[in-house]
Amino acid sequence: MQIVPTSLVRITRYYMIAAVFYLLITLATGIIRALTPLPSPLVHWAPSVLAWVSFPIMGAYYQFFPTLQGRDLRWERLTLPQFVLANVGVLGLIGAALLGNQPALVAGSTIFTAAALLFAAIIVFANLDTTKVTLTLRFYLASLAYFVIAVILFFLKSLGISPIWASTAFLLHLFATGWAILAIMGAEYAMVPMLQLKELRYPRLADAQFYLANLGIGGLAIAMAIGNGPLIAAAGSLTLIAILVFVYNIIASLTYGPSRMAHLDISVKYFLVGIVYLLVTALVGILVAAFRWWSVVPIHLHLGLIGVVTLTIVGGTYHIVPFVVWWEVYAPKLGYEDVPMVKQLYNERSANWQLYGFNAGLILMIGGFALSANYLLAAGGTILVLAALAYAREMINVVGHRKNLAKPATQKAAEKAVGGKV
Amino acid sequence: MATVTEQQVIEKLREVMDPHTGSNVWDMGMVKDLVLEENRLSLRFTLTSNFCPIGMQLGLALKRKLRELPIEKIDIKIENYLRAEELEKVLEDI
Repeated sequence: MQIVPTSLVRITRYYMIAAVFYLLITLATGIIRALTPLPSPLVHWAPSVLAWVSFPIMGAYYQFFPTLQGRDLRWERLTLPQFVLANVGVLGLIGAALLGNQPALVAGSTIFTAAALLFAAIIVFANLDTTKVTLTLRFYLASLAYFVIAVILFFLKSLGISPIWASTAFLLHLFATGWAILAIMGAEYAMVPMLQLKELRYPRLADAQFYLANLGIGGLAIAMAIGNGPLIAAAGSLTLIAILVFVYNIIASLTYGPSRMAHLDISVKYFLVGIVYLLVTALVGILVAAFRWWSVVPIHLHLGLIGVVTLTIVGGTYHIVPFVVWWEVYAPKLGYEDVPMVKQLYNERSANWQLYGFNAGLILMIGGFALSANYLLAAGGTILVLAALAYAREMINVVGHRKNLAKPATQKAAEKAVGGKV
Repeated sequence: MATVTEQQVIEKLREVMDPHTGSNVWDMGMVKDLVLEENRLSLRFTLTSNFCPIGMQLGLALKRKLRELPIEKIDIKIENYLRAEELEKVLEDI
């Protein structure tokens, strides 16, 4: 009897590790883009938005939904084909964008759309108990709706038949705010108190904040579709208020009552820095819309995608990846023999340094955009790559613990018979 | 059968580590209302989160550790856990 089936732990790991690979591709294409024009911006943002941002969310949902619902997914067997489809779709899109091949772009977009719709179907139609939809799951389901809409519009855009209002900026906002930010809020409402051994201070306020956030983000999407600057600024302000309420609740949860943890969990550190960037990103976005500061758009975009989304994903994976590996390798041994703690599966000092690295890289990059200095962009990008490489190495080390998996009895018997490894 | 003391039970509980925090379940305050009478033990095991993903494993580890003591009967009541009833049933059988 398992609350999270091993196959779901495995698919979560696949998604998280694949995401690290796409992070490196995103950063590499970003640096190249700073130095020389790319054939299409899609070369940079397909691995970024569709993989680095989306894959960890998909991986996390595959683990969170069964855990928070206390039941298995009925269509669990489809998760692996769904993962393969998603990868083929993203790689196809990158290849097509590099070659400027329109039919290949349509094929890649079709495959990715199929993967996204299959993912949504597995989550929603395959055993969801609507009586047990918690606050976090409500955020996740809303974010999933935004994801599906964004993917369909992206698909139509690749076919050249999307509505005129579905601009790239509009799509990016659907992915970044609707899909990613709602997922982040839902995850942090559950994870921050859990990781710091606290309770969510104001659950009813969080309930109300869910509607406020959707009002803001939905309003932002409508305002962007209309293309009205003051309306975008107004909806952005509503979103900012929702973010402030969210931040207040998280800080109140962390500071209320005695602490049973000596220090901040590494994931929570990343989350808190990400929250600071979330506030700054929203504020910059409002200023862009209100004063038509279009030159500031790249700053707004990178603050959001690196400062908010990347830091939160890295922080989240520092909990999820060690946990899923620990669960697979060591949970069955708990109580029978000494097992390492989840935190012992990675080097926390290195994770702290990576946080500094990501911040330093991002700040240099923002300076590069502000001063239109490509050398600063490349320098910032290089520091980000170094931090990402250290992060990738840490994730690979964590997964390396799988060598300690207990061998099946049949394999042990075979090895005994031949007197060596089989 | 040797008589087990409350202190021995607590020492066993201190060997059950929460893999998230690195602390043991006793010092984390997850075990409450520990009663040891006539070699029969009862306690309440309260998970830190209703959705604790390793609640099952922690419950099993707790029972395995306590089973190392010569105690006639061990009753564990699970609290603050989505699958409390299911876990209690499993723990009864080991």
